[in-house]
Amino acid sequence: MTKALNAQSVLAVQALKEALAKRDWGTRVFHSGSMTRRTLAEFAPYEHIPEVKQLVDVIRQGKPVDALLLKYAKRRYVESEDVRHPDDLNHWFEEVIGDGKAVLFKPGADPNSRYLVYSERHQLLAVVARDGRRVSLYKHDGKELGEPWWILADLIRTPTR
Amino acid sequence: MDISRPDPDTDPLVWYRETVIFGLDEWIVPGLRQQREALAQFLLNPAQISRLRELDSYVVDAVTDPDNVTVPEELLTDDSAQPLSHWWWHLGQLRAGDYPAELLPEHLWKIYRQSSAHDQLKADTVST
Repeated sequence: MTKALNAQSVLAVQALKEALAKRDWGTRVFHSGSMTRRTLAEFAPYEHIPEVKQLVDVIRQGKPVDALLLKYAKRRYVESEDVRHPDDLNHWFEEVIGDGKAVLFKPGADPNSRYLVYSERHQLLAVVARDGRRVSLYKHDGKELGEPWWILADLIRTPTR
Repeated sequence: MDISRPDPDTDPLVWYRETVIFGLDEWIVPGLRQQREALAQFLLNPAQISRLRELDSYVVDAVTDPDNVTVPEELLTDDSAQPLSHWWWHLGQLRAGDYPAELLPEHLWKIYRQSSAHDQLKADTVST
């Protein structure tokens, strides 16, 4: 792994810091298509729950949906997981980014490619946009994630070149 | 959130399910094909088979949807060394409509055919 922070690594540090500071998951707009079909199919059995119905209505109206609420509702209702509040996802996202042993994988050349951070301890993958937006958080086996780039503790400790 | 370390021995779908449900929306699906391949070697119970079919449907629907213009190139780079019947290694062919439909399980075949028909309809509309 690289011993000093080059410009690319500095951008990664900035994005991770932003991700920690802002807790911004952005919004999603659903247009007609497979993603909308799938999401509505997933939520269909739970539409009698006001929280889900509200989300589904917004999706159907083509308005921006809070991405954190969407992920929370999928975990809580579709996956029947023990998640009680959207902030639970924030908590675990921060556990991953805060895990000094977590690995940051080298992003693709595409300037829009995202940063992948994997915590073996939690077996969770956190996905961060270049601008620091929180993109996703999910359980992963840690395989096929690409080229390991930095151990987070080293990345934070290493001085800028 | 239940983040107790997942146990793929008791929940063999866990990795594939997580990748499909929480990665596919943003097309962040590292290892998706390998995770699906691992399941092909697993003896699943009827409930797991049913869930797997559902997850497979989501993948094929997403990959073959012509309106999804952001399908990552690496996902569409097929592995010709893998058997054609393992469709998850041939998503590029599925996307292009070149995959032999008869090799797909029926529930995926229907999605694939609908997508191909949609493409054909578009092509006909453009040419007329």
